[in-house]
Amino acid sequence: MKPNAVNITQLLAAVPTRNAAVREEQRGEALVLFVPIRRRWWLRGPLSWCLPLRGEKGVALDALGQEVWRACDGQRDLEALVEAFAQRHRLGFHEARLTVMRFLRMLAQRNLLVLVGTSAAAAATEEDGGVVPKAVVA
Amino acid sequence: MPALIPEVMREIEWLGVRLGVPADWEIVRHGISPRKGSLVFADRTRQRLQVTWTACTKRPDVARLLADHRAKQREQDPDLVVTTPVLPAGWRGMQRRQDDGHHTLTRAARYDVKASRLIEVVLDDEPDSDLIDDLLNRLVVTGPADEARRFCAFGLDVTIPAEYQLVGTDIQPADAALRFSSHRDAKEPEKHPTLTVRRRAMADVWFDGNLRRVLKPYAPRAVMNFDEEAEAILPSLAGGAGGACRATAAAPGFNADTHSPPTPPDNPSAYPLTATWNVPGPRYQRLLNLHRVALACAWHCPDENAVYEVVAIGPAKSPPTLEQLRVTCGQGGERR
Repeated sequence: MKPNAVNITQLLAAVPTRNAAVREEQRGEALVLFVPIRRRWWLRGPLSWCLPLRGEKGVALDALGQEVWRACDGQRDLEALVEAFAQRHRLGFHEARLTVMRFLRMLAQRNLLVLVGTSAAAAATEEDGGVVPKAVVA
Repeated sequence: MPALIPEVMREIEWLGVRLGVPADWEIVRHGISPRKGSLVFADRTRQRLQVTWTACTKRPDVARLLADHRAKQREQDPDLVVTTPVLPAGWRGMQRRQDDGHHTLTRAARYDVKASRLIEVVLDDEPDSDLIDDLLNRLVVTGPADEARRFCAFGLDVTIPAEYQLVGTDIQPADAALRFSSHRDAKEPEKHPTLTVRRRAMADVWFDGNLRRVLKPYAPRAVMNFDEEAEAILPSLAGGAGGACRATAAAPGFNADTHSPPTPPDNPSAYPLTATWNVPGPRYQRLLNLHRVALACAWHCPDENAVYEVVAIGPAKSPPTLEQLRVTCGQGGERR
């Protein structure tokens, strides 16, 4: 077992928490999330005065993505979130968990949210496919 | 106090083994070989049940099998306490406490003489639970695995014609497909009649009501002949008993049974759309009438929020039919 691996009980008890620095903007049917970019030291100086460097990165969410994103309120744990998702779309718990975890992993990789749990370990996620909410870098 | 048996049990039938499991258990691993394989169930956090089948030409010594297993476990842990529980319906088994002390592992086995199959069950449960008795009482071997006709798992409930056998599965989250062929061991299975039943869940997210768009990816380049008759009989079905996606009229003999509540007649996708097309291949095959043809049927089950697709492919000389195929939807596979 990897030293940082979490078991499934810990994972389900973790609370998906949004990055407080994320800015939301509704563009038509898509919700665009903007997350600030930390610039490297050599980009902060005079170079940034000359070059039009962007200060944030945008990620557009489809309807399904928005549903999961809005459910990540920092209060509900992952189990409750998956349960609600499964009930809403009439899925089994496992297939809902795979779908939601795959999407949360994408959001976490883009620094949009973190899973806050009892363990400091990184969340283990599955690689399985399926219908997942779309997150597109804008 | 004995733990309660879950109230809602889900019926599972796979390769001639029928059993009832708690509704919140899901299949996490499955085998498709009729000779030897297993079904593994898990609840939200851990593996709970493994059902293994093995085809045996001779009657195995079940007591010996269990004794060997017990000896093997004692070898690993001399202090292990293994008991022999009294099990119902001719099952023999052994029980031991798990290392954490909160769970009991029960191993049971039984040989079914009629089907010549050894069935083994391993259940991880709470101590003093009655679940093992309930589970073993419900477990029925319906026949040899290669003669299995009903497949009830992954949200699908399919009864196939007698000449077909399960040859493949494609199980993804919210998307399950079972593939059957009339020749299991054929070197070129695509030359023989095949049948695919697919269930795609989360229809509210991706399905726009256009069943033609659902069937088109099966043959993007082929010219599909869609049958509108099923839609034409819509008003007479809408108010009928059973309602929703009753697909009996879609293709002769095909019976998609449903328990969905009646659907408003303005939802045509709840009624099946059938399509036929010639499977693309070399032109000479077409000239010699050696090509293959396909017959497909798709419908939306609003009660399950899923779209069902059935595709039968066979030689043009004896075109495939959906006769004797039965797909049940709309009841969620749950029963009390």
